[in-house]
Amino acid sequence: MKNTDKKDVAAAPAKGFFATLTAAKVSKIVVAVFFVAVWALLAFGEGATLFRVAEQSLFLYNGHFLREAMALPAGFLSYIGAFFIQFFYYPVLGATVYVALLAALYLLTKKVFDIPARWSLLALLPVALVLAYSTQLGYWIFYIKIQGFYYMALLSTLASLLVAWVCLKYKALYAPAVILWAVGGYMLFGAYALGGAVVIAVASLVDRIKGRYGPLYVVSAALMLVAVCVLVYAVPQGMYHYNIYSNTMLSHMPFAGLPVHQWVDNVEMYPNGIFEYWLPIALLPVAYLLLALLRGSLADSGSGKKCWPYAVAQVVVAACVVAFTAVYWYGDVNFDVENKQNKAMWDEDWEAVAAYAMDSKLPTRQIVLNKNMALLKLGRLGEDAFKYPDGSSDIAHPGVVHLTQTGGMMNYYQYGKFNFCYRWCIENAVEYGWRAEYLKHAVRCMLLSGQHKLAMRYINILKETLFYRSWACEMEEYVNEPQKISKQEEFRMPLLMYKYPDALELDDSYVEVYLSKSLSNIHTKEDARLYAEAAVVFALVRKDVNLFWDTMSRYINKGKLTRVPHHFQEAIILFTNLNKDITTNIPIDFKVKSRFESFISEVKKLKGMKEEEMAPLFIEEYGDTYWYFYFFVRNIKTN
Amino acid sequence: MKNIALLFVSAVAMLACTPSVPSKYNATGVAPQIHPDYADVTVPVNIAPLVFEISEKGDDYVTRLSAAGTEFVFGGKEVAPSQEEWGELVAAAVGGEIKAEVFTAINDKWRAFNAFSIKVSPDTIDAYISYRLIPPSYVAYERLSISQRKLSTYEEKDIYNNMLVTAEPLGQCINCHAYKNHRTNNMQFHVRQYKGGTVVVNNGKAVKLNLATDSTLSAGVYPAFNPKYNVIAYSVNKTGQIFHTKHANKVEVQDSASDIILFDMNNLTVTNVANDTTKLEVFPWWSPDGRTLYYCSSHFPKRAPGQSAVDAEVRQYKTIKYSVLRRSYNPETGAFGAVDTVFNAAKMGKSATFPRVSPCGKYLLFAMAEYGCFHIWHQDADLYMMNLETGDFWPLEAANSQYAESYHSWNSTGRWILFASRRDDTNYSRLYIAHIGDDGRAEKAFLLPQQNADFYDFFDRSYNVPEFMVEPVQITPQEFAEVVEQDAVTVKYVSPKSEN
Repeated sequence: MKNTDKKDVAAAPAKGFFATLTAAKVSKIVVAVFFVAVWALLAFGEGATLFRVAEQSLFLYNGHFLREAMALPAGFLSYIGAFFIQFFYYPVLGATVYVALLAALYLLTKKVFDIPARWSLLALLPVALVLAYSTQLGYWIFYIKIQGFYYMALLSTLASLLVAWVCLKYKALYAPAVILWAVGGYMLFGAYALGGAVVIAVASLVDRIKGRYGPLYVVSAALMLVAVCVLVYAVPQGMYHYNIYSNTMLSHMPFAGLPVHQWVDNVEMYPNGIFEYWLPIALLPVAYLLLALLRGSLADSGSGKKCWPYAVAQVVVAACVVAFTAVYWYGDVNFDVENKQNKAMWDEDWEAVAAYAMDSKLPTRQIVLNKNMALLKLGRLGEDAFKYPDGSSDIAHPGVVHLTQTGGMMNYYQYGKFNFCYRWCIENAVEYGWRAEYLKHAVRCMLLSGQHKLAMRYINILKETLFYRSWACEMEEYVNEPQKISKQEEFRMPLLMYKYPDALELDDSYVEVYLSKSLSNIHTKEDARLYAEAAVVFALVRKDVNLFWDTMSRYINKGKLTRVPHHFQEAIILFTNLNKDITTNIPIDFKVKSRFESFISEVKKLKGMKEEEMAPLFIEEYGDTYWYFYFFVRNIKTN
Repeated sequence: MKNIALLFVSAVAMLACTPSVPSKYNATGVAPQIHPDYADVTVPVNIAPLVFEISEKGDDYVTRLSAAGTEFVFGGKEVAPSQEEWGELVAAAVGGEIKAEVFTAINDKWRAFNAFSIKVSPDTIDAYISYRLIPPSYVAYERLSISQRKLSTYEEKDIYNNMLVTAEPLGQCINCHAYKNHRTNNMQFHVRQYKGGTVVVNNGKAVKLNLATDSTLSAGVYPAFNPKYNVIAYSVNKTGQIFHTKHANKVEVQDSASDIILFDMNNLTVTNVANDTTKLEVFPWWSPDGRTLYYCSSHFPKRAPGQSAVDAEVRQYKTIKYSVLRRSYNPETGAFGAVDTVFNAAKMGKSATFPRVSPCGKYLLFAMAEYGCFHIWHQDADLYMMNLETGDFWPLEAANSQYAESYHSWNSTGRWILFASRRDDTNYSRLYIAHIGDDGRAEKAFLLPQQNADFYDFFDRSYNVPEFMVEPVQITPQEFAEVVEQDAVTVKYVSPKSEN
């Protein structure tokens, strides 16, 4: 086949570029375009998500971390997965490493299954499946309990392919290699090694049936397949469960390394099912079995005069690859905005945090909370809070997403709720394993609450990482010289918000509700303007008129005010209008008054119309007002 | 010729790698900082090697450990004697001490620190300990194990691991392992939520029991095996958690109701022992003769009309103060005598918990803090000893720290105590062992040794409910899992008998 390709190329050197195109060349170009597109999309389109994936993982350069990982079957796979994930800290670098390994998977697939150049698109099928297994995740990055998950299918498939290559290339090594892979590979790669062993056994059987081997060889390969299947059943449950792993339930043993906790045991928590998440990994062995069946049959296919079946096949394969990749690529705008905001918050770029909130037409509460927090930091909360899209979009995830498990820890930290932030770091670490993001929150919370001994524990852990080491050293300097803490701009707001008396409270896992209630109840003399401004806005979000007046009076009474913020004026004029018994001498700008009058007059014109019908008519003119939020942004659901 | 050359090269290499104590150095006049702090601790002869790291700055390190003519020199920042080296050292130092001399070099200039010692007691320690490994979390739990550790080595094995049976989304909590007389053929632990029940091993046979009845507050919680008779005392509790918004204690674990019950292992019955609704009763423990039951009790905070028990506790949590009480027990009739106050902590404005009588019956070991019952979350919690004959009590100053000490237990000989302390980082409970002298005073406690000096810096679980055992648990985790999978045997309630 390779010779044929060379002839095709050599036959047309003098013609134009398109005339020189051979099927093999077209395939190569398509493959190259595919990888470049995936790289570009990951590196530049999904940069914030990749960074978040790195933040939601942890890799420590010490023996303790390895030993801890190795305590579980497939722990080594998780370990090396976490190793590669750390490079997502720099998305371009991480995407490059990831796509390079995807390309290696493609090349190895071609090599192992002898896929000729003109059929090389077929080798993209497993690549697309492996890619989809990771890019489908979305909010699962917060919930998958396996550290190196993003890379696990890719790395384990590469490892299985290497074993397959040894088996097919060196026939004498086939039996020991495949048995070793099933028995020993299980400890390192879990279910992926077991699956790989079965595929290798099938591939070898097909190879021997197709090849010029005697019946003895075929029978022995068939027996080996049976033996591997027995091993796959017996090794985890019989051998390892009773002798090595007293930390994994019997029925979970064969599925080590797969997210069975989330996608099987918890299946009743997802009313619409989560079958589709399994599909890429379920189709992966199918794809390789298909390639095993086609092995050796593709050399001359489609090279005759009637090339249309070949062309159709190529188009179908390419379409499948692209369609599968596109369908499984998690592309939720809100998730992207949340991740961008998160990155910007760690970078202390609060203008960007607020600006990203504009990118979502119907934001999640996390986006709104982040934006309001940014505006509070920037001193514009009362002025601008309702000028952004608002609401409570459903989260694009099959289950319930609690802010306490995603971005809520940052909100707690910034609002000075260090104990609550720390609590959720610990609770989440218990359920999902320690992650860089939890550790960083834990460091800052314990640093700012004066618990330096505990802060040092987490600093020392982060010092064992590659990319968080310098950040950890920076934090260590504050432990050594705590007088510097209060002078640092990034700590200013959390420390100002921390000035409240201790109390025993529960958040019931609802960040926004808790913050809202807590800030409303806190009466502190120190820097209360910041508190009160936040409390007023929380009252406005809750549309709680009494609470608004209460918090507003606190806001007004905290010293000299040059001007009442814009949205507060809007609320005052609205609430005094709705309840004529309320009078106030708070000055309202002429512009606000006249705009409110026109708003009311517009509303009166549409009397009888439902709110949801009116909302689109008002958004253009009044979408930046509290009045619009009050009347038309309904059913705010927090989580 | 080739072989001789190889031998020579090897010998040179070995010589080059063998550290030696520097001949010239400047004395610093101060003791070296080491981690963990094993300076001047007292250890039993049958403890695993104490591995420590020198926290002083230096380009090169040499440490000499010596005792009665035996000495070993170690190079490097981490000092990790082998099992054999350590064995020789402690054998030479029994009743005396191992001397540790630390030298560090900066720019080839050696400094010598003041030597410190590791005292080696002739009192041996029980061969095994067990504990629950749990992250210092609040509500969430995932991977939990009750594990056993051989003290003369670093070997640790699961007794039971909840991941053997647990299933999402219910999860499974395990807790409160306990033994009869430090032996493992009579032991118990609880399994909560999924497949919940109490696994009781009665003369080597494990069975899962449901200790909850309509007449008792809950299933059994804190257990105490009677050392002589076939009964187990339990507290039954309704427990909740609430969180400090600011305080470093972080969480308050409170009982809104708690009583004491007695479980008769022969007849599979439970009886209320102390169930005064105006009081909270918890943490039972038996005297060595099995004829006195000790426990803690606190008055319940005053409740406004209509106020819930939980709300009253949350608002007045600092007023909940436990004292140590006791009642006589008649094993023939099963009746309990009148209540006697052993240690009135509440009167002192304190709260005493976990009363543990020494195997000789002379001393009472307990944890005390300003308020409440869950002292592992109270940074002011310290261990105290009381002489039951004289009524004198004192803090175990050499064992305590400025952070929480709690969850203590006695060695079978009464010469060692094992307890959890949060002194290292304030949040993760680590196990410390202290020698107790004839006078009931503790010597400086040492951290449970591990193979690496920085083990605890990266270990993300707390050591919880440490207990001594003279032998390992023989039932495998998988066998326990099979018991846990079974339906629980329900016990019957019988009314308490009066002393008359």
